[in-house]
Amino acid sequence: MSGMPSVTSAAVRESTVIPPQTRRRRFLPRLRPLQRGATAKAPKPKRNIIAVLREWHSRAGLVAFAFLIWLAGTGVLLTRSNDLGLDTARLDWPWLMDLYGLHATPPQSGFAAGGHWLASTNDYTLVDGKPLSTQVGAPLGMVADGDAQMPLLYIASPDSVVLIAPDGQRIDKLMPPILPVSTVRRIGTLKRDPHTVVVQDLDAYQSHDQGNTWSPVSPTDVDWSQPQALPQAQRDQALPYAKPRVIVEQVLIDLHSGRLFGPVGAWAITIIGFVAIVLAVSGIWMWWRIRQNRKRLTAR
Amino acid sequence: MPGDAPGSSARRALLRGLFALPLLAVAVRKAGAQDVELAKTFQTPEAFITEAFAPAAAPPPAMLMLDAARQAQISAVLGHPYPQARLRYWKAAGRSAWIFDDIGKEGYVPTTCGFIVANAAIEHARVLIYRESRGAQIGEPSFLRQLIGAKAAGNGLDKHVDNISGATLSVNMMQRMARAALVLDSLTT
Repeated sequence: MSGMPSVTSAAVRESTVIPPQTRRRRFLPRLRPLQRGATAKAPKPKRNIIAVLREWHSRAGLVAFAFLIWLAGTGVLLTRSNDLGLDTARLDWPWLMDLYGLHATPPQSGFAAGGHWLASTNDYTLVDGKPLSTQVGAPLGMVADGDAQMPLLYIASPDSVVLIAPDGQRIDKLMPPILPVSTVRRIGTLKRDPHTVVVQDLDAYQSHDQGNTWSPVSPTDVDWSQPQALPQAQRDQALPYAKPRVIVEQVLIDLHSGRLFGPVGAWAITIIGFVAIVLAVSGIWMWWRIRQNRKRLTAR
Repeated sequence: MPGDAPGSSARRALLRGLFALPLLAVAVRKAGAQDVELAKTFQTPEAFITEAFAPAAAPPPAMLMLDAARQAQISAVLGHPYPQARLRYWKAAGRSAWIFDDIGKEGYVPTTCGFIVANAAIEHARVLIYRESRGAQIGEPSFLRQLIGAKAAGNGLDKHVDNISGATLSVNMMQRMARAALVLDSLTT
């Protein structure tokens, strides 16, 4: 330790060797930029376009990095959604439904006939709280018919009348030309004969034989099926089938476009799209300029 | 501009093109929005039945009861039982007409098709109402012509049917339905 000169002793030796004027002359130029402030920097060398592009290319790449992986991931899944069954699989995760702003709401009204209740949710048609194997789209009425051995329920929708057994088994589906009307507006039964089913679009037609034959009837002779407030017990039974569900493919589309996170998400992905364009163009430009410069240097 | 570098005009054109891209995207989106349709009706069921037996009047519909044994035969070709206990059909002069639904796969929306069967072969096949979002090309006559004359061969058809890119499931469904129409016709004799 004693053989090595300490910092203090070196400074003392320098102060004794270098005169104070010379020392001031050396120190002042270093201090001057600090005195002028941060704005007075030494002039930078002029940068060429490749250097600028490279810098911005790097910045854009860093910004887009995570988003591009996100977009690529959702994009790959979307291209294979059919094979993976994502176009039919549905999700009902509560937090996801919260993001969509969807909440389970039981149906408030339904149709009653023959002591049975018909209710409808987004994904199910329910008879006495049990879902039918095949959904009936937009039901607009239900009537009961059939004998004691084979009771039948007729569920009308705009394009058909579906006949089901009270246990939910589908017996038949009446569509034009079996039905005398191209669109069903309402369904009912005759006042004088509750076993005669009537459908109406513009004109009303009645059938006594489960839809095999139809004949005109006056609409005033008919008890039309009307929506009624669903009893609380029916609502409670319908609640599990009223959970909102979203198809996985739709979730992927909304993730890919950023719409799952509202307008902010959509705008973020829009900006990332432009950043990706900048990356592509600046990359190609840099490659082209460097190639040109190399050619020029080789020519010399 | 005089004095510009040789590549500057090309660069300006490139930049202009890039700025025009969003406008082009908006224009394409507006044009595409007009084509959105939920269900495509190629032919109404009434028109199909009328045409099937023209110039004669269509016969009254008959009813085929689908008991367990018959459902088993249908399941073998359709891949699942027919979801009803009975099915209506029209038959006259050895020709039967069938209108029924099937799905491309579980979770899809049913497609309504019409078939005319004569001499245990498909005489005509039509897509009547297509409700799926893609694959509606199976309703084109050029595709449906391939099914004409098809007979049963095992659980499939004796004719090769070309696939349509992007509509594989619908193409398979049409072949299954044509085969099911042949089974249904055999159940009426």
